[in-house]
Formats: sequence, C-alpha cells, structure tokens
Amino acid sequence: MTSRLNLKIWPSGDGFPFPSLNVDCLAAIAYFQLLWRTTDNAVNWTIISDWDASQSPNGQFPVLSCSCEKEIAGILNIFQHVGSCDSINGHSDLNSWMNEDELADCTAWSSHVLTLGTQLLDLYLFITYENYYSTTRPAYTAFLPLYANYTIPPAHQKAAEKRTEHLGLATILGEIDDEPRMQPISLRTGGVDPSASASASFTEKIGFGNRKEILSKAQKRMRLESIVARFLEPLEELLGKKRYFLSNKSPSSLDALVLAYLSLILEVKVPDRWAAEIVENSKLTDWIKREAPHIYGNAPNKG
Amino acid sequence: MPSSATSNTNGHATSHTKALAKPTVNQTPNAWSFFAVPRPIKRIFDRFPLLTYPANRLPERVQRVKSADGHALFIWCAPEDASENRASFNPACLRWQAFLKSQNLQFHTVSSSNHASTNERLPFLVVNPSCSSPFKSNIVSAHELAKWAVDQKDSWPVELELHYEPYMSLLNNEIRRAWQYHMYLSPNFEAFTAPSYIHSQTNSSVVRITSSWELQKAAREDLMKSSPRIDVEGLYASADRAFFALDNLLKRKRRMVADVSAPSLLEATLFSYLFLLLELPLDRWLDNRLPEIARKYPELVELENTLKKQYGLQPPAIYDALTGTKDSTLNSRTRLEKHFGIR
Repeated sequence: MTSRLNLKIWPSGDGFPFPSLNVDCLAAIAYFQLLWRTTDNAVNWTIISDWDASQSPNGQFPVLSCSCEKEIAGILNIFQHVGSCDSINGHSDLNSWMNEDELADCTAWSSHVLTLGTQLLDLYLFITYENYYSTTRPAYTAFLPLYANYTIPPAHQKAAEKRTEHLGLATILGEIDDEPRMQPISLRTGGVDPSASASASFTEKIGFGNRKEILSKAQKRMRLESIVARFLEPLEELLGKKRYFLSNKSPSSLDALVLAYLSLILEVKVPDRWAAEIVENSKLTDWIKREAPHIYGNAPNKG
Repeated sequence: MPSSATSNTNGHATSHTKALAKPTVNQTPNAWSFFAVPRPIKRIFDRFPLLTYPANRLPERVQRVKSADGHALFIWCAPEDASENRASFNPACLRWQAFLKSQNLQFHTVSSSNHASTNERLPFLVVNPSCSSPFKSNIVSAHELAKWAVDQKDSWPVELELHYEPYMSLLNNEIRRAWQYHMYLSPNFEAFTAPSYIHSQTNSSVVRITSSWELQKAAREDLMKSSPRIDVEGLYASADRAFFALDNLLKRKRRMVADVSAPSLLEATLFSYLFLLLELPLDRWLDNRLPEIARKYPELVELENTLKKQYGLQPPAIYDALTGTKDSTLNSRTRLEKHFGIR
C-alpha cells in the first residue's frame, strides 16, 4: 500500500517565484522534494494550496494530513512525524542516517534557523514599508477572497510586528526612503514654497544637503547587517567545507530549512532588496545556487 | 576662542546675579543687561523668598541594601525568603542567581516585583557601593548582567563554542514556550503561579482576579506570537525534542571536557528550568506533562542534582507549602492559605 501524504500550503503570488509565499511551506516542500529524491520516489505526496488555515492545529500552514489520519502543524513537528509514523513507507526520513549527536545538533540548529530566519523575513517582507505594500500585500490579494483580504494580511503583519518589536527597527524600516520628503508649503501662495526648495537645492549644491540622510542610511544598514550576521555567520561556520550542513554525504531536514529561508530572501522580487544584498555577500550564496535547482525544479503539481 | 566665549557668559551671569541681589537698578552702567529682572517681578520675589527643601531620605529598604555585604540581586521571590539562599520561582531570575553563584560572586537576594525595576523587568543587580565606579550606573539590568559578570572575573567559563548559540536558542524558544504554557495556561496557574506572583503582593480579591487575568493574557499573547492558535501537543513535542538535544549536549560535554564543575550561562539557564520542574514531586503538579518529559533524560536530572548541591539552593517556599501535605489538594490549599495569609 502506498502512503498518501497531503501537504496543505499557502499559494504563491506575483513577485514570489516559488510555489508558496510562506517560508515554512517552502521548507516543507524542500523537505519532501529531498525525501522524494533520496528514497527513489517511494513517498507519495501531494501539495494542496489553500488560503483558509483556520482548521490547522496552530492556525497556520503548512499542515500535513497523514494517512494515519493525523493532522500535524509546525514545520519541525512535520519533520518529526514523517520520521516516526508507521503508515509512511519504510520509515523513510531524511534524518534517519543520523546518530544521536547529529540529531541533537539538527534540533538545535533548526531552532536557530527558525527563530532568526523568521525574524529576518518578518523585517524584510512585512515591516519594510515598501516591500509589504508593493509585494507581500498584493501577493496575498491574488489568492484571498475579498473579505479575507481585509483580515489575513493585516493579521500576519501584526504578528510580524510583535515578533520583531524588541529589535526596535520598525521606525527605520517603516519609513519610505525614495519618495520625496514632505514639501514645505508657502503660506502666501498656498502651493509648494519655491524659496524653501531653492534654499534646499543650494545646500545640496555645496554638498551638505543629504548629509543627515546619508548618515542615517549607513546606520540603518549597519544595524540590519548585524541582524543578518547573527543569523548567517554561525551557519557559515557550521557548513565549512562540507556539502551539506551536517554531513558531506546526506542532506537533512536542516538543509531543507536553510534552503527555504535563504532562497526566499534571495529570489523574492521586492523594491527594497536590503536583505538580499547582504545575503549575496555571504559564502552561503554559492551553496544555495548549487542546491536550489535540485529542490524546487520539479515539485509535484497542485492536487 | 572658546575661553572668551565662556568669560562672556560668565560676565552675563554675574551681572544677572548682581541685579538679583541688589534692589536698585542701573547702579553702574555695566549692570544694565537685557536679562535683568523687571522691577515688578523682582518685588514679588523679594517678598516671597524661594526656598529649597532638603532632599528626602532614601527608603529604609535601600539603606539596608546599601549597608549589606556584596551586591544586591533583586528577584521574584516570597518576601520572607529573601534573606536565605532560596531559589526564585521565576526561571529568568533563577538563571542569574545560579550563574552569579557559579562565578563565586558575593551577592544577596532582595524580594522585589517588576514595578521596582527601571525597565519593568526582573532581575536587576545593585552593585555594592564599595566596588561601584562613580562614572557608571550602579544598577545592572538583566541583559547587561553577563557582561558585568565577565568584567568582574576576567574569565569566561568553557563553552562548546559553535554550539552555544543554537542550544541557547532551544532554551529561549522551545523550552521557554512550553514553560509558559505549563505555568500560566495549564491548571498549574491556580496552584503555583497565581500564589507566587500575585497573592504574595496583594490581599484584595479584585486586584488578584484582574492581575491573574492580565498575567494569563500576557502569556497567551506571547505564545501567539509564533502561531495564531496555541498547539499544546506541538508545544510539548518541541520541548521534548529540545530536552533531548540538551541532554545529548551535556553527554558530549562530559566526554570532551573532563572538568564539568564550571557551569556556563547555558547550563545555568538549563538548570533554572530543571530545578523548578524537578524539585516538586510529580504528583503535586496539576498538569505534569513538562516535568515528566524532563525526567526522561538522565543527564538533565544529573545536572540538576549536581548544581543544586554545588549552589546550596533550596526550592522556593511555595514548594514546601505544596509538598508538605500528602493528601488532597484541599489540604495543600489550606497550607497555601496559611503561607500567604489568604483568607
């Protein structure tokens, strides 16, 4: 008997080149794709795109409907279930090659990636004003029914805000960079004050004009870089010269996670690409370029 | 350039005080100043001399803290527990209590609440005046404590370098979330959390009800940051995986480093959760899923045992109240009532 696994995910939208706009859903896809490859297609799985996650045990996608009639939510719980459920063919599990030490490391590093990676994507796709309004929000609109469009994306944005409020970056990412600042209004004519803009251009001419802005941009960049570095540097060190994060031979669920997080950051088409620019300078980009085509290239069709 | 500028301002100041000091104006041509006080206003102030009251004395408690030996660590604990070396019932406080002990820093604990802290968080440390520098604030808040402790010692306990971050992440996320559910949203809230945090602070039933409600709401909101619905099974499954990984880390550390007697911040943090989970007999918890999970791992139980003896820490007083009786919850309730003066 072949086991049937249904993976429910949020669909994708414009600007998001992968099957889902949610990073945990992508990680689940990457996991099953790797599993499919390593077990010679023994595990039969289908992707179901859905927008209504209200039936999920934790109110989110991905949700795995297993042939043992359980519904499992939470990406790490899904990985664990696939490894332990009897109804899945031959206990095929990406992590079955591991000894206890490697399993412990895998758990700890997965927590690192989930915590800091989610935080980074929250800042990048939900808190950065331009990215949210020109990419994330329209992508949701594409698949949500009209009424849910007024509740789900704001709820996701609010959750992202709460998760990142301790970083205190909302003010510097929330402002619009490239749009012109508010023009001073002339009280006399009621229009834009020409004398004010003239004086501004004069100060710009002599080279002092944007000094404050440039300074704040550099400071902003430095703070964001430190956040990305906290996420990436330990991972770079862990990867070292190995092919995969925990072994030279076999991929693990950790590889699926890192791949999903980094490829979403690199590939999503947003106006303010600050995170992608920082990640591109990292050593992990080569790894992503090498491994990503194997993973997302041939995901099964939507069921 | 700057010196002339200061002398100029000084000149202004003196002319100003002159004008204030003497009732007559225009005494000398130099005394006239733009800043001189107009005569009607000046007359009022002549009649009502300004008086500065001497500063209030500091509260008695602060005096006691200042005169005591060592630094003062302000933590959550029952007021009568503060003088002894009793553990805090709050893992965030107990973590630092354990860490400072492991670093052999002299300190005593002060029972406090988050209203006492400048950033509304416990613990914080008041540096003993004899060691404090006049140029630094003598209050060290929780997130600065690690750095402060390093400055005192000039050495840092052995860590498995690469593993510190991810395993700390397990404690700060998976374990902390399960702990929050275990303490605030399960039936344990009534038996343990509410008496510890709220009943010790107030006797008013209205305040108790509203505070309990707020405390539970805050915990629920915190858990809902990671998912819109709280998946209890998932929370405990994550905690199980995390404890497994930490158990394995301790095993490896024992293999690699012969001397495990110098615990790190990671171990102090792990200890703070384990101590509070394992010190109470399993049947005393009203929801004992989390302590059951922790008990499965021998290295964790071992670590708790070793460090407990090493630090000479006793469980919080409420544990005594809860373990004292062997029979029914009714009995433990009466002991609780006695302990916290609940009627």
